[in-house]
Amino acid sequence: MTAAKLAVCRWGIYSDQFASAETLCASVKAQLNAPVRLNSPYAHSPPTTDPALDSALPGLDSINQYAFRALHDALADRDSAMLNRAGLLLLSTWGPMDSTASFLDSMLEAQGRFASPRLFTRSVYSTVASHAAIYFGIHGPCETLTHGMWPICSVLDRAADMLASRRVDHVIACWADQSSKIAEDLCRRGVAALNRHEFARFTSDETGYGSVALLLKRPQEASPSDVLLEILDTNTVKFPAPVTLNIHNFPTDGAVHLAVALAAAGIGSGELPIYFTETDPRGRSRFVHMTPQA
Amino acid sequence: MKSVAHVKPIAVTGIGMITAQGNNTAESWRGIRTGADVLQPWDGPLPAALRHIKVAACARLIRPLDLPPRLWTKLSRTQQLACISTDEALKSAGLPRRQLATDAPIGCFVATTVCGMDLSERYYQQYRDNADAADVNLMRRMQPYEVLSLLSRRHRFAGPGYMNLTTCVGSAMAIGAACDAIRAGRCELAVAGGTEALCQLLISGFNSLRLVSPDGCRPFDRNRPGITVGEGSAMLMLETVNSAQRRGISPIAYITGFSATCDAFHITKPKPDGTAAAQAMREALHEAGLSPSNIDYINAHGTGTHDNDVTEAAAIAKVFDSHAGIPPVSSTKRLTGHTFGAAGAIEAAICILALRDGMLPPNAGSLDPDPQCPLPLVLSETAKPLATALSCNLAFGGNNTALVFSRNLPADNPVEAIA
Repeated sequence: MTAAKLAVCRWGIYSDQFASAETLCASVKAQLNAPVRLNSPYAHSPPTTDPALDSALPGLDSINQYAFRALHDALADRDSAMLNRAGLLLLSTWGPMDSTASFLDSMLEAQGRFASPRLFTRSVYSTVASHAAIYFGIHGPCETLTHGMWPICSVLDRAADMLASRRVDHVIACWADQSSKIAEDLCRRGVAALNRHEFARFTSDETGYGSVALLLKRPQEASPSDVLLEILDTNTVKFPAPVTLNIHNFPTDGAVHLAVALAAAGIGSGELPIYFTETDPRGRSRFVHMTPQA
Repeated sequence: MKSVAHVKPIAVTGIGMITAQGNNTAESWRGIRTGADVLQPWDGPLPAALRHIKVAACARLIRPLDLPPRLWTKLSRTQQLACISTDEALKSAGLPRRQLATDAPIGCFVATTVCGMDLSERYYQQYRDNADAADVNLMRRMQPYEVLSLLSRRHRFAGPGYMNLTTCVGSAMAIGAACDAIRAGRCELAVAGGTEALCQLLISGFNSLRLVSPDGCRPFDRNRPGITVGEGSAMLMLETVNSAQRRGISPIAYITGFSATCDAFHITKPKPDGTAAAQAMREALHEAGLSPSNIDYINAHGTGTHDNDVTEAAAIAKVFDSHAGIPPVSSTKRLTGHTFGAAGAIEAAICILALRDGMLPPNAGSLDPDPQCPLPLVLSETAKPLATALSCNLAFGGNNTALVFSRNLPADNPVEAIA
């Protein structure tokens, strides 16, 4: 039997539709075997149960707000000793695109003289992970990643490698993307004019705007009572016949879909193997095999 | 202290590098070693107010023959730079440009900060003026992952990989991740490095922070005027020692240690006491089974800003002072410019070439060393036999990395090749 690579100890999700793991689980229960309608951009940020987080959120871009809320749930049991030996992996497709566009506006409007330093520091992709590291006090490596084909599997691979290197004891994997009118418009043009159908997923309100965060540990060191799920394999490119995909007709991209799979795995009886599938624009799939723990 | 490596060394069997000093590794290294001054104002599309700023720009890029001109001109400059350095890395490692389906899968770990921003800026300018008239072809290369997609398609890299976007430490992290993936058995060979092209956003952005020097940076100098923005790319061909032996390739050097930490302090300023940067150095040395006294050369991040230089000097002093003193230190940022996502890889390549040739590159630009940074700076090209080198990088958000390189395979390393 394949040894587990990753133990999922806690997780968090935030979008306008699923404000917590519990509401997502309830939604999955209600929609078994039916396509799960995912998020749409939200206009406001409802309060959390943490006053410190509530005071931090308003000054941040919406991508940070999504990420902070998911991370807050995934790190509910955090302490400084743990965070000193924790790494953060944050993957985003679009990053803080609105800030980048706003910075370019400030640059173009002032002939380069008065470009906004505040917007510049918000315009780089890594700003989301950096703000999160500062807020939560994460002192291990904080890597900002992106991947066009395997945004989920590549992060899980990297998390497994980081834990195997023993430089860290925990990895917080986080996926975050924000609603952006510019991004949506660009993608519509990309689909229409360039035949770039991989952009199509960003052009409707069923896209994965929001954030999902997982707290991962080495399975052999995690207390069995703390483990929600074990991820057995993050590097499979062929579906393991003769297993039949037995869960839901999941959409095939986006971190929220992984969360749906996680929720389903947590709900499942444990008798059937559960796979999260990720399919690239060419139709090649990779599978993450997960087993729910008692 | 007895040297006991805690991880398997990874062999570096190929280097590809393109910088303002030259369009290949030999030219770049020659210029860097001798401290050649190549800074000049950028002839790119920059607002008039910024056109006097000297940058480290690469010369005209030579199109690889397998890429048709029609495709080459559509690529972002970041992608073009990556193509050139990857070609050279593969060639110097004795590997074909295009892998066969039957070859062992090669991983690809690449870093950038802004990717196709040169094209995105043009597109956005058109989009602002008249969205419907904007040339949508310009948006083909805007996503950072397009670099990875291009390299994977072009060279048929079928192994694991990702794009790292962690600004100035990104390519050091990419190299560390490639080493981890190889050690984890995900692949036996991997290309790892970084690529960055000049664009308005980088020059204007750092200028808005009042960090850009118009005449070139002076790392660790009392009168430092700020950073020099640069462009370039470097790729390392990494593989297991077994794989190099099987292929009959003699490694140029070995990566024996890596670590990354985060200050978690401020979005742009490093933590002044350098604690987390020192921690990264200590952990990388621990992985390599080396004590500070074993290090023969440090390539510092040395951007030439007050915050970076003083913090980095404090971090180095924390790790090295209580031992046999600090080894020779130089920052090569005035020679290559600060290449952000490519900086870690370019400086890793510089460390490896310094080990190969026993030659220390100078800390160019420093005329009056800052007493706040009491480091033994290499002030001119210096010949010195080297066995080990340390490359340090610091970035936005308080990210720090350290990479340790060894000229020879550690005698008591736990590598399977010995078994």
